[in-house]
Amino acid sequence: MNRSVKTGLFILLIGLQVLSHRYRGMLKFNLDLLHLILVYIAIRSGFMKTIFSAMAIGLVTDYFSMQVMGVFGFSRTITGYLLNEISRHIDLKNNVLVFLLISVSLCFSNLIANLFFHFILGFPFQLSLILYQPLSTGLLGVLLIAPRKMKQYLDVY
Amino acid sequence: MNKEFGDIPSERRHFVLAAVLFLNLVLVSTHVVLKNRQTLFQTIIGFIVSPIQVVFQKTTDFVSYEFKHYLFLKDSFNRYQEIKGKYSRLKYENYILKRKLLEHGDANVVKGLYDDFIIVDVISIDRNFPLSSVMIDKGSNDGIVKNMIVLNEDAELVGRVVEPITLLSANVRLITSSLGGVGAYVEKNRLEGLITGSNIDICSFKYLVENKPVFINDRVVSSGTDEIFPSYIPIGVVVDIQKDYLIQKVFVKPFFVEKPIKQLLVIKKETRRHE
Repeated sequence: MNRSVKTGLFILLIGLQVLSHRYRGMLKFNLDLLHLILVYIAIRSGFMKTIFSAMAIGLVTDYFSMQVMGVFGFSRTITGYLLNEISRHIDLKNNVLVFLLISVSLCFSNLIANLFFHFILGFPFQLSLILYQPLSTGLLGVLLIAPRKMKQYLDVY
Repeated sequence: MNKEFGDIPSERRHFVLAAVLFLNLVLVSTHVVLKNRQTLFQTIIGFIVSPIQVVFQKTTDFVSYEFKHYLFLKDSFNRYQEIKGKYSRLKYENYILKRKLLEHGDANVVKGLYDDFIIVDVISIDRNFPLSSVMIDKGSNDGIVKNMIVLNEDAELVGRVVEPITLLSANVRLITSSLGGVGAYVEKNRLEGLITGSNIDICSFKYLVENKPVFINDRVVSSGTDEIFPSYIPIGVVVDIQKDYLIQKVFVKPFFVEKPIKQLLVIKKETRRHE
């Protein structure tokens, strides 16, 4: 049961991310749903699985963003590693901490990516990338995990 | 939380992390185009590889150069000898043609004549009189006989073969020797006389009448009147003239004294059978 819920949720998140990429010109909000998958993997899995999943998610994000391969791959790998290390010491029953974990990690990851874009492509620092997206993604993450039953399904209590 | 820990030793984690991050940086570098229109990755690879490439190129160039110029020097030397031989033959043929043109006005008559000679090496020089005689490394075994004419590589007169002639060596009396003489004339005015040596690098022209002028740097060639040396072989140039009563003393510097005489040409006697 848990496994099928997880798989279904992951597929849903990936599908929504693809759709949001397709219609991003029309959408006013900008979420990074793949980051939620990364946070989950970093919390639940070991070092190796986290690192390589983070890199893979980062490369997919690269494909959906500026298509400069490796930028998000780099930032997500560092974030995945930090999440993997920090999550051991955080009480994940507390939704505020979960929100902070998702938001701050995505903010940090996007900041690194934005630095790369700034120095490589002369891309300006974007508040939507560094602030709004992490906040909205963090909020969505908390909403997803808030129900007690969902916590049981996802095994993060 | 049911977290999987210890899937990799902690000391290796940083290494794996660094490797994955490095891989990402490499990927990034393949997309960064620099001012030189190359990607950062290409530039870095070029920066790393180009010194190796240069060293490799220089090394291969050096080795191939050394092989070409030293290891295969034997072939070059043989080729040089071959060309040198051809050069001598051409010079000699040139001399024959000039002579026949002078005598008959027709170069066709020389075909088949004077077409062979023996290339010899000088193996010893008279220490006391270096411009008197030399010994060559071919003797009667190679067909060397007395009075054969000896030229240098530029087909200029050096001397003639004299006794003693052994199986493997022979003696050459130089035209600068105090013994003997060469019938010769000044090319420009055909003033004829006898050239004799005195074991120094200057020969003197004897019996030249004073009525025809001779000038410094006039060419002197053999006349053939001595019945030993064929005519029109270049001998030397006039270097000094002293007027005397009815005659003039003309001093000639042979061409061969200013050139190496390590290798000489001996004209085969039988090739002069038509004379």
